[in-house]
Amino acid sequence: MLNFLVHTTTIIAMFSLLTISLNLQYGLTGLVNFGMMLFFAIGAYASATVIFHSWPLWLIPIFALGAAVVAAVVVSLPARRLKPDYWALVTFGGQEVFRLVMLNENNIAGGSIGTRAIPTLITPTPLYMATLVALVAIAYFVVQRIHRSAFGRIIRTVREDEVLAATLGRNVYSFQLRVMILGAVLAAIAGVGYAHYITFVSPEAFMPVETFFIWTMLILGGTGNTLGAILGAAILQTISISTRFIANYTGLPGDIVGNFRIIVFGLLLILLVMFRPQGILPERKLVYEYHAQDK
Amino acid sequence: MQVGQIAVNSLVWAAELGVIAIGMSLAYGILGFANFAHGEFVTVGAYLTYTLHIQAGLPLLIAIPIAMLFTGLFAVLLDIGVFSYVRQASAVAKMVLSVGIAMIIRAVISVLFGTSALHLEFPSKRFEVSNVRFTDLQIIIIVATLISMVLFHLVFQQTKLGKALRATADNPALAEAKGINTTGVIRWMWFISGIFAALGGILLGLETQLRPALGLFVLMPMFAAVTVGGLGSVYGAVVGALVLALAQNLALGIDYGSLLGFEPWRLRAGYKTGIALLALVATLLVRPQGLFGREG
Amino acid sequence: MKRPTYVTLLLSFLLIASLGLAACQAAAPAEEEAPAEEEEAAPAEEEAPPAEEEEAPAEEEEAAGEPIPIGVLSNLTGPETNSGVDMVRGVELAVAELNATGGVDGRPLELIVEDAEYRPQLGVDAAHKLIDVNQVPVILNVGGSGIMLPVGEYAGTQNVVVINTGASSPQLRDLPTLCSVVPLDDIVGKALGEWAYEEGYTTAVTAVPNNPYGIGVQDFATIGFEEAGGEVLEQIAYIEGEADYRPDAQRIADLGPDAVLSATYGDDANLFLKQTIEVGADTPWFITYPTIINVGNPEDANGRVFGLEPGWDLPEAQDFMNNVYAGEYGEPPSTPWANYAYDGMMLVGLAMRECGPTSDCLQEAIPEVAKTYDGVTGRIEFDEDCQRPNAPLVRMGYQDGELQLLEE
Repeated sequence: MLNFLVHTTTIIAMFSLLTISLNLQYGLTGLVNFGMMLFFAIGAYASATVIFHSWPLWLIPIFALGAAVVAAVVVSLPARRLKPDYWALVTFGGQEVFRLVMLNENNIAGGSIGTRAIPTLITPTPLYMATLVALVAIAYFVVQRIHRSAFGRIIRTVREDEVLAATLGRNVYSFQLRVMILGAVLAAIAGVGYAHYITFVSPEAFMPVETFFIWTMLILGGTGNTLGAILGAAILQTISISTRFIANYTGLPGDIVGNFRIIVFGLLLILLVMFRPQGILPERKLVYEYHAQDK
Repeated sequence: MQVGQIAVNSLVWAAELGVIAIGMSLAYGILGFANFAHGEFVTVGAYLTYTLHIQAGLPLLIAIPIAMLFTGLFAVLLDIGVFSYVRQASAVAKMVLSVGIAMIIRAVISVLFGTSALHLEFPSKRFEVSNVRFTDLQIIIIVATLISMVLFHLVFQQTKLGKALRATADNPALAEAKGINTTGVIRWMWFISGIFAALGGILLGLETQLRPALGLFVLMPMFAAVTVGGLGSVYGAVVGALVLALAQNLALGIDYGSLLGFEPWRLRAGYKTGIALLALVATLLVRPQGLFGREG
Repeated sequence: MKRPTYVTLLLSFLLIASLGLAACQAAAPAEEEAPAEEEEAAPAEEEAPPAEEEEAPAEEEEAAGEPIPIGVLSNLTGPETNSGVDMVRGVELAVAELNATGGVDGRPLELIVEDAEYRPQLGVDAAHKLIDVNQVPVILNVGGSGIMLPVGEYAGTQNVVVINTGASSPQLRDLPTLCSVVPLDDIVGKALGEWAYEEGYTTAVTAVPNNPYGIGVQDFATIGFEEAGGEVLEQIAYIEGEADYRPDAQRIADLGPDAVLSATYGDDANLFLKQTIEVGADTPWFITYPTIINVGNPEDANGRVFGLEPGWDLPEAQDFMNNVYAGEYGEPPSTPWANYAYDGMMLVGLAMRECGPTSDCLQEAIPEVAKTYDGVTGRIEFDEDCQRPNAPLVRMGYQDGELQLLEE
């Protein structure tokens, strides 16, 4: 039973890194990234590639971070010229292009066969979990600092009104790029965490629809609120697990349960967007002056 | 490389995609967001036809229009029940909303029909003309697409509804001010886009097979076709589909190696969706309004 | 923190609910009646007579006592569910028979069925639940290999046995507690390549789905074909689940091989075959496990489609599929995995009868009891990796609109 809780916590921590990353990009800066699987897969494949070719392990962080930064730059280039929903489509397609390359090129990390026996490196498992949780805590504090800083004010201005930000003399693109890079790094770390924990990486783990689960987590927990991001990850993973137990208990046919879970997620998404788009934990508004502000 | 065969392959795929893309482009022009649920109208139309034709035994020629009609109504219901509440929301919010709807529709279809592929029985006859093979069904599909385009053009250009649609797409506030019932127009738009999506799904289903993930599969090529052709331009959508289909088949058919004097080398066929995606990205980078679209 | 009650309530409720259910399940499995898992796999539209209850009154050796949990990990939702559903039913039929003849030392076997949805991370979640919470000594898993590999890794660390009833990546050999009832690709693929060459075809193209099963067949069929003297012009690995395979089919037409070596199955197979004819590629196809392909128009397949099938023609297999399985579920299975699952579960049960419901026992006893077990997939032997090195392969071909055994 303890093992199970450790496992669940590890998965929640991994998703939290992803939701925090998305929160940074979308919640704080207004970048509609529908391609979260891209950076996540980059991290996981950095590990897989190194193990597949039996290269030295210190290459993993180099590949993961390096590729994540490059990908962030490439993906953010169009952001300055496109409307958010157009750019969203670019990111949605971009993640799939990466996955297709990994699927078709057997020499990189095994193609569809994937790479197995990725060493966990940090054992026993509770220690691995603790490492991931620590990383989540670090990410949380980093993003909180950003939120409160001048940088944070500027990216929120960019989110609300890019033109205004530009008129105020800010190089909008430079801020977007920095946010993307940090977001990519966070997601890539989650990917590395995934690879070494599950010990197996293959393209089917990075299907485009998975990105929407992360979106659901963020919207549920609270867009713009870092704690909300973690909360959303925790709640959704808990729902996912609970449905298994509910299924066993009530004897529902197994094929209904999986679809039922998807319907629940879809409904959550719809109801949230319609009635409570700010999620459970709304964004904390920082007050700078003590007279009332219109909002 | 069989140019003739490639042309036929591309035409058929473009026709199937084009019908779907018309509805998508129309929706984008008027609603202003990328509707991820559009792919599901495709699936719903196809499965409704299955229910009517295979399960209830109605002849195809009757089942198809009924299925199209019901899908159109379903789309209208979605607008009434969900989207009319979020008119003021951002494009992103509506996009995310449509994702949720798409997920639910797909899951419900999986539950109702199972995930195995189903078939609309239509035994097709094969023909061969100077080494190019095609079937009678493929001819029907191409003709159906052309007829749809013509019908659509007539409605769009010659009728009052069409005028109202164009006005609303151009400038909703002005249209409202001139007395056009924009809410009604929007409902009609959902209806039309649903009908076309259903038709596309039925044609695709006749030619290939029905699976719950059908909508998901056509989603990216459809976005690509609409973007390349021009979001908001309806004819552009079909042209975009054709351009994409040709690009895809050509890119995969060309022996690059021999062309450059090396060993024969071609792109793996597994990249075919990748080509559509790259075309999408390239278009958005180079000419975001697509071939025929209007700016903004 | 704003609105602590909102948050805490929701989170606490969900956590408590799942923990509560988990505790209930782990602590008192006897309360859950066996019929619960009957419903899980039998879809609503068919009469689902719980087999146990029907046979119970007749047998005097009815198993009663604390149930032994058996884990089943399948794909009940996702892109391809026929194999998953068949596999679960095969296991259920075996459990019904075992329980009706005394269970294990008088204790009934109880199935806990989980759905991996064909997603590796969910498969691992399910494995953790089965192993950590339900404390199963064994998991029967249908795969694919992408799911079975990480599941097998974890099961190995916890000394839980995994019975492979459907995946065939040769990488599975490396997992210490995994036993395969299906022959891995190295055997079937190679035999396929050799057969095609025997038939006089000297050039070939491989066309397989881009997944571990397909690639395994591709690699070994190529080896078999080329070692026999042929030449493989190109290896095509298509992406599953698409609605249009014309570009891939066009590739085959352009290359013009004598034969196509394939591992295609299900709905994709139907579409692929159809579209290859439509673009003008008329070559014969040699396929592994041909009974699972879906041929839309049998006329397309006559004289064109051949295949290697392990053990399909055996009288035991025919009886199992057409009488036992069809008797319970209304029609024979659409994939061979029901048969393998049945054999796998029978071996588990028989082994447990030898030395108890522990995974150590299973690792010792399964290869032993296999020696005297007549399976519905033929005689089963295990090599030192607990993999199945042989399986009676039969050659089949489409004639007169259906798949038939070929005369030797």
